[in-house]
Amino acid sequence: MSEELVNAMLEVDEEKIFTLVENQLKTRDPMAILEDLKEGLAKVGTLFEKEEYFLSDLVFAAEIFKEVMKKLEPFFPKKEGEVKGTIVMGTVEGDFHDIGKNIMADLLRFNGYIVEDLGVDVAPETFLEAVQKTQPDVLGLTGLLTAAFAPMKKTIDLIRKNYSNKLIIAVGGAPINEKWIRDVGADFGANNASVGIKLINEAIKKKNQRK
Amino acid sequence: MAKKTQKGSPMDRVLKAIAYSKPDKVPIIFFPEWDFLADFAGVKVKKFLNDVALQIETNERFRNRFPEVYCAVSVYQPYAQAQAYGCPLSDPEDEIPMVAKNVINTPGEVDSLKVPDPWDAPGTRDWLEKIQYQIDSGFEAAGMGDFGPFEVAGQLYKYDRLIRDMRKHPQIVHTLLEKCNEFIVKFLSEWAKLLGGKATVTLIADHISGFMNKRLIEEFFAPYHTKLVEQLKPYSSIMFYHSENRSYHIIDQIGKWGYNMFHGMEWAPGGDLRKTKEIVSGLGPHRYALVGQVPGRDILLREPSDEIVRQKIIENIQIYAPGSGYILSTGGGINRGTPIRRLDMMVELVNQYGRYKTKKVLYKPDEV
Repeated sequence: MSEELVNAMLEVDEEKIFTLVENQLKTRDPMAILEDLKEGLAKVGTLFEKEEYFLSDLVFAAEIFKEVMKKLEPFFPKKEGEVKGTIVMGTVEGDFHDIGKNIMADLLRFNGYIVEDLGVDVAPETFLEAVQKTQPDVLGLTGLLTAAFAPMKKTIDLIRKNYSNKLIIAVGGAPINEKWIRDVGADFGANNASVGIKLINEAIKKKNQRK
Repeated sequence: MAKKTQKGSPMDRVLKAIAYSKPDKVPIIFFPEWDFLADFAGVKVKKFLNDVALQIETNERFRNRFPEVYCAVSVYQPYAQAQAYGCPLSDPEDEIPMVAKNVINTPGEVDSLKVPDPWDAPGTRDWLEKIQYQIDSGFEAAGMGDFGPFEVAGQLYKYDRLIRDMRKHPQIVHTLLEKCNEFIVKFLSEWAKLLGGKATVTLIADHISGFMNKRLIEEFFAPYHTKLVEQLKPYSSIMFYHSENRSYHIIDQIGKWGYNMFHGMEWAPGGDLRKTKEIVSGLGPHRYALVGQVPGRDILLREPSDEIVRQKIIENIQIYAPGSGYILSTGGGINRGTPIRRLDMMVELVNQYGRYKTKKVLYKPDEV
């Protein structure tokens, strides 16, 4: 781990972040760099929740992260061959946080999925329209706030009722735990991106085996 | 010229508090939201906002209901500046309208944005006409005021983009803020002319400071507010800053920007209310009067126990009133549904606990 990089992200020090990433790419595993950036970003989120950081810090950190991801993207080996699956995802209604969702979407793309990202503050009806149109393998719902529970449940209920109760629905975000997953009616969920990827990979594998 | 204030009036108390001299008792300001006033008038919000005579009559009735209080009421035109720039508003029956769509879609459009003439643009023209009507009808309004440069910029440009572009396109944001400031000065100076050249108080509402860290405050917020206050000073005796957002990081700055009063929320560093009083009182030539901050939503509106509301009001008086420089108010506006008895409670508790000179009180703020 590069503590310097984690701290540069924590301090939202743009210049330092880009210099460090540039230098570290010569010697370090890009995935390890990504992990450090994620850790720094998570710390920014924690300080925001503690009201030590302001919205501008959170927004700037997320923007810098997105830009660094673009630099890292060519270093992640894309799986050759056919597409693993299609994912429709978005942050649920009333929640405007997109950092976790964007990280997840990027990682899914690196892992060979086609991702349709609906953005933030997405209404249940918009999710329904999107799954009807795209017919994805997985629907991913994210939310950072505990207030995301009700719209997440509402969205899942609407999809189950009006589209299919067999669609794999995954939920993600900081407040997600087993009880949350059960109560909203999702198939599975995770509060960090690497676990999320693993679970989606497994679910798609199982789905393909059933075919 | 601003009118001379009658001694012992609610406004006189406010002026004394600003000067850190002691009035007979702690002044109170009420800021009723427009949906609250529509309910007070017994009509839906849309009807209230479209009926200027009803607004004046209701404002008069509200003010008469609380003669001990400086009631910040005047005729209103929602999002007048955004309308003047061409933003459409939502059109709900019984809620305050909102800006439905921003008008600047790309950073490049900022350069070509024209600052409107307030008499020649919808929104501001409507508001100025309402103010003229108000003056003609003999109602003496509380002062003047509107949104500050960041708030208007956010309405025109979208708030999230405004924040993002402070990093990505800082020059664009500066240009936009410059134009917003120019329009605010144009608009409020026209308003002041209707009042005879000068308003007693001008309120500038700009909540975006609560989203910005200290560095951004210094780079973006402070220069535009300092300039705005400077340019509005010829038109207003008192400058009043309002923000319903986190503000503990700016309490040592507001006076430097030139404001005389601050109506805010979340102004206590680390939740320490006494610290705020200590910091603001110690700002020397830059000290200003604190206005607040009995939580409007969580306490006055939602708290089930009257006793807790009472304690909260007393706590505010006890912490902030000593040494003057304090005006009791809600933190934020008076929300729709707030029981009138809780507003009466504020008046009663000031009479009981907030007198500066009388001996027959349970508590004398200036002795603490």
